[in-house]
Amino acid sequence: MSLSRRDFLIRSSLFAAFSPSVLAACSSGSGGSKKTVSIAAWPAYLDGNDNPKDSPTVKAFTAATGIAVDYQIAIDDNVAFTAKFSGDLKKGKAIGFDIAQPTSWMAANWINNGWVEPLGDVPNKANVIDALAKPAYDPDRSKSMPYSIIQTGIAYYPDKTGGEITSIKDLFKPELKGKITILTEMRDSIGFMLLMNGISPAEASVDDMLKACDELKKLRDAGQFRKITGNGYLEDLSTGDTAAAMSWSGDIAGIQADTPDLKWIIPSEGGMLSSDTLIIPKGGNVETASAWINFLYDPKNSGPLFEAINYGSPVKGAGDSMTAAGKASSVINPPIDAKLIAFRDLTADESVKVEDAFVKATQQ
Amino acid sequence: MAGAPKPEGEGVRPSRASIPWFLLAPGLVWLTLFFVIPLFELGRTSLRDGGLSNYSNVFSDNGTVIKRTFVYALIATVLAAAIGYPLAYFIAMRAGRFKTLLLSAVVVPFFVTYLIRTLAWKILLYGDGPVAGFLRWTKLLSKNGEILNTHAAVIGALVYNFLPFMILPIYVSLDKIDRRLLEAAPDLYANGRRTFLQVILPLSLPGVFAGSLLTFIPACGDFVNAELLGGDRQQMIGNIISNNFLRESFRPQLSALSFVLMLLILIGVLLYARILGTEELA
Repeated sequence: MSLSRRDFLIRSSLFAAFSPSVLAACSSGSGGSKKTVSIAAWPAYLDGNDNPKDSPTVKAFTAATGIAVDYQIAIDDNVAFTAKFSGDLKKGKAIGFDIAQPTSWMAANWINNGWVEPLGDVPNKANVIDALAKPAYDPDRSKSMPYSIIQTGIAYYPDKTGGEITSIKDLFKPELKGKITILTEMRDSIGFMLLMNGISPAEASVDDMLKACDELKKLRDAGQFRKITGNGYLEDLSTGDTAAAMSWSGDIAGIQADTPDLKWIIPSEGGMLSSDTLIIPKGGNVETASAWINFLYDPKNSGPLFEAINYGSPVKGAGDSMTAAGKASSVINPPIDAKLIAFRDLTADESVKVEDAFVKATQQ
Repeated sequence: MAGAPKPEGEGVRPSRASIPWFLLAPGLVWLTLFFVIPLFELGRTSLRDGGLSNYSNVFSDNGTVIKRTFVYALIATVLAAAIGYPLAYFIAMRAGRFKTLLLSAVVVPFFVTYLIRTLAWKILLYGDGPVAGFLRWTKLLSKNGEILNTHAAVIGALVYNFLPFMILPIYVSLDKIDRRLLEAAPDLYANGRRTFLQVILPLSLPGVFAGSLLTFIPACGDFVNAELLGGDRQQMIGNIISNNFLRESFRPQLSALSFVLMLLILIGVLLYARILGTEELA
């Protein structure tokens, strides 16, 4: 079993001062005679159970390029990860990583703040899927590349929900009061509310979002939500204590082997699409980082890696290098169609306004 | 030397008056660096952006959670005292040669880290777990009822996690009671109940007081139990602070919330000290 982001969060909160990323920040990210690429990653994102020594991808990369990989699970939360390094980044100091993989909206913040190096030589860049080729925050993909595709949908146990769930409305019906969980990720939870109201999260106004926060608060006050969590939802979902959960595709694929009754759907109103995004933090080694990105964008390398970690690959043709089962899985090879919608980019002011209302609605 | 007039600035020996300062210095430096300065910084942050309105908004924004936090901590403290006192009494007064063994039985489980112990509770309490199964079998829990994500789960875990901090101070204060007083009481026609109420209990109050503080204060600030065993309706102040402190725009409000939490705890403790009259007992 892979390590969930939540487990990592707990550990890191206890040992924050000693976490590898802090230690890494003390040493310089590059240099020396041997070439290295130092990667700050989310948990459960590398084959070989997150252990670079066991990872076929890392082994193949080092064999092909001669570059050693210093792989550190240093991201447990977009905001926390960024806050940890924002002081150094503002001063233009290197943070000790050559690659980081925040979620796209946070990568957009990094790019807007000038905290990234432009990508170097990445010939395989052309293999990125069309849906993610021209984001507003980096239209020519000169500063970032998607690492993974994450779908936000609904996982549920039909016997515990009293029937099939096909829509977001179903998830919020009174019969499921206190039995469902939603996510602390604003763009997912508010995205769902907007979709339910027939508003596209790709175009919603701030007022639409604030209204969605109010509605969410009403549902919460009525006791609809068992819990509002980050990766923590997985524990109660895998034990069957939660009947249905707003959830992330790769997580569900990861536990489905142990929970054969658990079903996964993209709701009829639509689901949310996001991607964690590779960037080169200011001061990072552009040469080794670009080599890593280029390696990941070879479909032959991307296919097996993403089949192992259960997330969607953003690389065209990656499915051809998967087994038949991996190729057939809609979780690993999502049909990128109109039903999956990415939340629109928010300006810094908009983001503060909506996040503030969201936290008030979901926590206080 | 005695009686000889003391010449000014004799040798390098520190003057009598400065000795306490030398002894205090390490503690003072530590406190200044890691308590006073951060506290000052927190106070400054709490006045950023909204200024004083950060404070006036604390109750309107977090009223429910603040109330819940104090109710949880209070119930947990009372329960810990109710469970801890008889146990401490037994160990101090009746355990004889098993005293050390029993004391270590109280302490040893706590060599395992806080987090692991709380996670273990989660495993015990989940829907298909042993505890819920047993309670359903006895019909104390309905078929769809659950223990996780209830007030009882969070309060129970708070009691469990802080119990030794209640037991140990009570044990110490009971153990040091002069046994001759207990012999004198029946000589003066006090029955067992009166001996307890008029001799033992008053003499052990400093222990109860210390134990209550050691339980109540950390319980007020705790977030691990509510995070792991509670649901949306069991969140405590600590959860709000831990979830959002890294969000830049929330920091002033949360700093104000931290100060209000400190102030409320301080008021509570002072009231408690007044009621118990511990100044005279100590």
